[in-house]
Amino acid sequence: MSAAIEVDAIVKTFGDTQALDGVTFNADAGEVLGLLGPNGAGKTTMINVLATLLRPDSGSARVAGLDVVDDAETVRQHIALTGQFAALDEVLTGRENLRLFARLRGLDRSAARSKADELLERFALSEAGDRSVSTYSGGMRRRLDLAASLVVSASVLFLDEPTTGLDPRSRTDLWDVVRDLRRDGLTIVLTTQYLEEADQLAERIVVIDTGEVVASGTPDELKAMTGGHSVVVIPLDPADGPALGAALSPVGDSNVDEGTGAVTLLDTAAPQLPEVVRIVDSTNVDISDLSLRRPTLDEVFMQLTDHSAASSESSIQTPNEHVAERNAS
Amino acid sequence: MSSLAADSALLGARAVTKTSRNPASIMGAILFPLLFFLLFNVTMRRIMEAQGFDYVQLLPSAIVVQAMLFAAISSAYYVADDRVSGVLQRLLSMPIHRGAPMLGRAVGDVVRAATSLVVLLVVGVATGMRFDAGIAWLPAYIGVALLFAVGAALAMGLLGYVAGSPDNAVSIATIPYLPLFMVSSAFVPVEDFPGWLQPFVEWQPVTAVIDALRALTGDGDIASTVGRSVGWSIALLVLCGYLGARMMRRAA
Repeated sequence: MSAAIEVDAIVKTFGDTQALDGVTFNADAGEVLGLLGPNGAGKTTMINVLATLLRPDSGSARVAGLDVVDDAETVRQHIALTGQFAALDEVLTGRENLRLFARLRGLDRSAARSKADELLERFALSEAGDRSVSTYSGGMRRRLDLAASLVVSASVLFLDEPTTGLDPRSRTDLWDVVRDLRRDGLTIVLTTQYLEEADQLAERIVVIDTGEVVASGTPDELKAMTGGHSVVVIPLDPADGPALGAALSPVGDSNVDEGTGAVTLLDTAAPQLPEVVRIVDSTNVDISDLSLRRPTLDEVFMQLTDHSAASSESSIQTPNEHVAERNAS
Repeated sequence: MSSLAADSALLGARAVTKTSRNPASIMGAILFPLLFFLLFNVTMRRIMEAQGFDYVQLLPSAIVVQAMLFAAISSAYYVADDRVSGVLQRLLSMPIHRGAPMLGRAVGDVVRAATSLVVLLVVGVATGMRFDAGIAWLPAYIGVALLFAVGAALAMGLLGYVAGSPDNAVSIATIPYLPLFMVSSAFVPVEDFPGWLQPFVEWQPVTAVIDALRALTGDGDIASTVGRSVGWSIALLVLCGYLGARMMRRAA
């Protein structure tokens, strides 16, 4: 596998803000690489550098073997960018948008016309094709946005938070589209704040925080960093938590959540479940939940990016917060 | 690979399509200039004629320049819209000529400005304006007006680029428009402004263009006024074109 993207010690500063502080990673041709990080981590800045929209202060980046600064014009022939917000002309129809971008990419009038028809068909937008984009739903915009990136066959596709703000149904639809593109052989760099999205789509994940790479690897490798499975027992009365934790300590190291009384047994997997149940039964504590938990990327993420919002159940971000990062970049 | 002419033509066609589908743009390009023209005729004509001004001859050129400035303000709106919506970013990530977004925008501005110009010339002539210096000066009249429209549109476009939103862009672009247009020879002769203000009124670009247009319809010296007007327009084009091109190279 040849490297489709090589990023070496990229630094980018905006005023006093160090957006990228020596970021280094590679992506192989044909793989989906997830850039994961909280708001303001520098993901969008990184994408903009790779898409030739921003010049790095130092370091180098190559896309399809070409330097993004020195060979910017040639790089643009190899890439397609789908930004954080559907970058479409609201006044034009879906079909007109696709034709415009196809013609700008060098297709002649009739080729652009048939390309637009083909993409509308592929992204299930044929019926809406002659309506102005201002009437489209969020999911339709995202699909059209992606279609507009594919008017010519690029070898590298940048997807900057492609599902931010979408409802769950539209999100899974878009995931299917990304998987299709992956099968077509495109190299895809995907930024996301949704850990599940990275887990679902990316073969490898690079975790970025405050402009630095803090970890990288496959989703499984990253999950392994948290030390495996755990068992969670939640007492009906939170006050029973400490006693329950003490009783269960022979099974594994336990953490007790002060608020809910939930006892988390670290490094505890299915074989130990019967023992856990026996102990719980012997303590006569009423419980509301007992579950076996696989490690999630959330936990990895929390551990790596050292955020204070500790519970792995709480979501890392709200969909609206991404505006802050966009404004910063 | 990238052709400035072809890419600009495509983006210019897009700009014209957008304008033609936007009711506010059509009102701004046709209805507003017409209303200004008619309302000034109704309210001011008799007073101005009593003062000895040939209002029928002087008013249309003032309203033409106002319409050129409206076109420039709308350019700020569309530039801001492209930047905020991400369309500009998408364009710049594509292998198109870096100058095409700006030039395509200018094509749309010229079409819009020309539409206003035609409407105003028709009603102007219908209400009695004449090309007393000779109808042969009509092409020059059109040229002077449209050249200024493009120069002003590039300048306003820069404001639109940094405005943050289309609505902000219109507000910000209106700030230079108001003093430049009101404190010009549009409605009041230079000599009737306060003494300290007269140098500004006399030398600022809007006065230069209005005086040139009036000269081309037989009221004033053509060579000096057109020279100053075209000088201003080309200065705007070169300066703002350069700044715009620099922004495009640094991009998004």
